[in-house]
Amino acid sequence: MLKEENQEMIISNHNDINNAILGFSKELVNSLPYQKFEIAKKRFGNDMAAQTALQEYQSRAREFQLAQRLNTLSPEDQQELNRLWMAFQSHDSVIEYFNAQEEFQALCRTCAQIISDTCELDFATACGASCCG
Amino acid sequence: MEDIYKLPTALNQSLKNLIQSLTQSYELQNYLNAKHEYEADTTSFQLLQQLTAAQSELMQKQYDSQISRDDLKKIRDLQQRAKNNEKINAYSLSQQNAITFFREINDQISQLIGMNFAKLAKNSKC
Repeated sequence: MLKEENQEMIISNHNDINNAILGFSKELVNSLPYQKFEIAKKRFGNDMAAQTALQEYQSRAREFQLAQRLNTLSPEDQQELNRLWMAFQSHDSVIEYFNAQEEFQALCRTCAQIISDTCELDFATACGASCCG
Repeated sequence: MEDIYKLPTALNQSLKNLIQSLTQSYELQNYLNAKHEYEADTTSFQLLQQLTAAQSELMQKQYDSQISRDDLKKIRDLQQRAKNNEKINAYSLSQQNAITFFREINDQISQLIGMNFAKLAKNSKC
């Protein structure tokens, strides 16, 4: 039995932490939500029609960016933008991509929340993450 | 640690291992000790609460263009007292170190999974 003055905090060394990070990351990558997300990303990337629809939307959005910032976008232009967005979202590969992304995000949120609760420090906020990027 | 969130078994175990190694790190132990000491000290705790409240009040007054010299003096006094408070300082410094540590962890996880883990985990939507 250790004497009180000889008792030291148990300190993880770098190897312990690195191994734990490796183990956790490996299981995250092996998880079903991650696998589904990777498949959905590939499928979306290979869907030419969906990619074209995205480019059309982004192109119009860039043209209207200043008007949107100044809140001077006409109702017709806003409708055009909405139409292009809906057209983009209607592709199966896009729906699958967003669903898979949300599922994987939910898994990551759960893991990060457990870390945050135990460590009494919000993991995502500490790492500078914001919802807008 | 309970399996509250119903993660897959292997992922759950690996997360437990990760959390165990994190909480046994110098950075986290130092942070948790400093945090608990600060929270247990009424004077320090109340001082920081007062400073936070005064800063919110000042922001509102700034918005209404109603800041007085007394307001500024009050804030400066509180800031000086907080700066001189050992427990607040220790808590603040240890928190900064813990944040840096978390960022390093996130960088490693993100590199391994090919995506920014913390960004994915941010618990809010635009």
